[in-house]
Amino acid sequence: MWPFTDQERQAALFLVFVLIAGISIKLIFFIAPPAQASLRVLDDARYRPKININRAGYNELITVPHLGPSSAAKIIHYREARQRIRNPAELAYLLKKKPRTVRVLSGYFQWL
Amino acid sequence: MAVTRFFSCVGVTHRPCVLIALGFCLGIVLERFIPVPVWGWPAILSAVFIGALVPYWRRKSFGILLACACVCAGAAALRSYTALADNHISRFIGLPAGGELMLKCRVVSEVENKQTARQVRVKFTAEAMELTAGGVSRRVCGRVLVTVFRAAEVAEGSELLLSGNLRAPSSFGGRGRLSYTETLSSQKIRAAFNVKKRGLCKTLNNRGVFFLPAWGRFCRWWLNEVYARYLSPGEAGLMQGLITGERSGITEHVKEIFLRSGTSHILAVSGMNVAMVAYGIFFVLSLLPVPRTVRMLAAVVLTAWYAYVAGSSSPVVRSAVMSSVFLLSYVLEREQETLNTLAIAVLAIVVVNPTQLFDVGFQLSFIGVLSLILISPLIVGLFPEGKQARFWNEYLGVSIAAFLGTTGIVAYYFGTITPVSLLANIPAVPLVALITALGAILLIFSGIPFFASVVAVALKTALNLFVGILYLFTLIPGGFFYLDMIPSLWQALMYYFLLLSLIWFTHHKVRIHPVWAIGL
Repeated sequence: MWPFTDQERQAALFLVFVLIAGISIKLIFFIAPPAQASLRVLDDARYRPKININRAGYNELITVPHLGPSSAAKIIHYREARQRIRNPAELAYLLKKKPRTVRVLSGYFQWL
Repeated sequence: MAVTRFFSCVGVTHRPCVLIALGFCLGIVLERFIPVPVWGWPAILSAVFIGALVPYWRRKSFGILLACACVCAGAAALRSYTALADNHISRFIGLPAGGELMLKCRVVSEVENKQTARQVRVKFTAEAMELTAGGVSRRVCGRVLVTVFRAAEVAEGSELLLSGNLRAPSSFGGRGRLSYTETLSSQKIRAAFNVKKRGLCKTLNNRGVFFLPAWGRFCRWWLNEVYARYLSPGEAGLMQGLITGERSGITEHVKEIFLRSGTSHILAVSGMNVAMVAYGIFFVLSLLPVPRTVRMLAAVVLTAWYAYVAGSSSPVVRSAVMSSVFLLSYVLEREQETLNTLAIAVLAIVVVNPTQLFDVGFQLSFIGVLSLILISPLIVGLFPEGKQARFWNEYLGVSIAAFLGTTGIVAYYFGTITPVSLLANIPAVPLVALITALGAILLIFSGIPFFASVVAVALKTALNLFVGILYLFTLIPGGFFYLDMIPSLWQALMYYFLLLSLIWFTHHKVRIHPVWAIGL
């Protein structure tokens, strides 16, 4: 037996563990291909944390792309007058933006 | 007597580098905010020196003289760093040209090619050499940020002839207190030169680059290429961010997840990465039959190389200096002291570039480490003791200390507070350590496709698990919020004053009256 130190033994064990884990995951993906879809968090923009359009303050609203200071102020005034914005159509009416822009914008918001 | 007592109280009598670093930084701050004439600092230094010659003061005055000398040195360093030559390119902004300006310059940075749906942009930093305006040529100096609004073949080290317009760099308005102009100014860039679609961009000659930067760029390219080969674009982008500090590949929603879970510090190459690299190098070298001293010196050199490859930002230089001092203390058989080591790291950065003291990355990095040194032991002392509990106490203590230490700066610069970071950092830190280790193994096995693909699957799983867990933390209500009003400088300073007072009272076991405690 070679005189391995504790650290060397731990490193070798970790390497073996990684290889076994990798092969096992590959096998799982081979047997059940849909499982591969679970590894999409980094490439799927649906996992973007949403901003609550009815609670966000001015400083938070202006961090959203396509929303400038005037749009943020409009949203806040509208909320104060009518309590809440219910859906993307209401936002489109309020901001008078193109449907495509509103579709992009609605990806950043939740409408609670 | 009182002065000696003060110095021994703050612990600088046995930590000389702390005194020197404090004095140097104070000098930089004074020079920035209080205009002192050119003869002011030498006059103060001479007065203190003459005072030191008085027999009564001689014994006690060494500390004061040293502190004053450091203050003067700090002020002088900032003044010389920010001073502009008479023919500096920024002095010609707004020149009535009567046509386009022609600029002869040499490319001194990496060339960034950015392609969007609408346009192609080539961006780089250049050292200005000659400026021609209205038929008059003049020799100029200083760095300029060049943007060419079309595809152009530009290589680092080449001399170019450009035509376009010269202006001050834009300060992109946004929330918080971060200023793009100031960031550029700290890199000695005070002017921007734009070459439009029909403008001239002609290469005069290409001298190439010194081999060290070229090797650094090659290493970074190789690391990025290996990850891009085995991982999906989003995963590769995150790995490149974690290992080489290249953040352009990280997708927007992932950046948002890190921001809202208070774990953005993980995306900056910092102490943990450098410590892991130093440990990895030391471990690999320990397998070879080389003496311990040689191993340590090799680890120091390779850590410095990694810091260079990772972009030499403040956090990575800070951790590289600290780990090098730590290793060298063993080689030289000297006692090592954490605060002294941190002070050496501060000096190593601010002596080279004094404006880094006002950089948010620098401040976050050093205050984070300082709070780990000062606050973490106090918090751990508050928890019940026990063998099992000790690990968790220390772990939680570090997380709370880092949160308390950095909250003031984060609120001041970004106007956000992230209480959820206290919880999110608990699983995040070990997972990042695991991911970094897997990333290193993937690099080692990159030449053997089968093993590399097996390790890549494990790495993919770990990366998605990691970001998925962080995403769950972002769903906790009240975990992250924007402040309605961004705190002023005085409010931020008051926060740190109160924090230091609490540390002082806890450290000296001073009993405070409940009314005072509530007031604090």
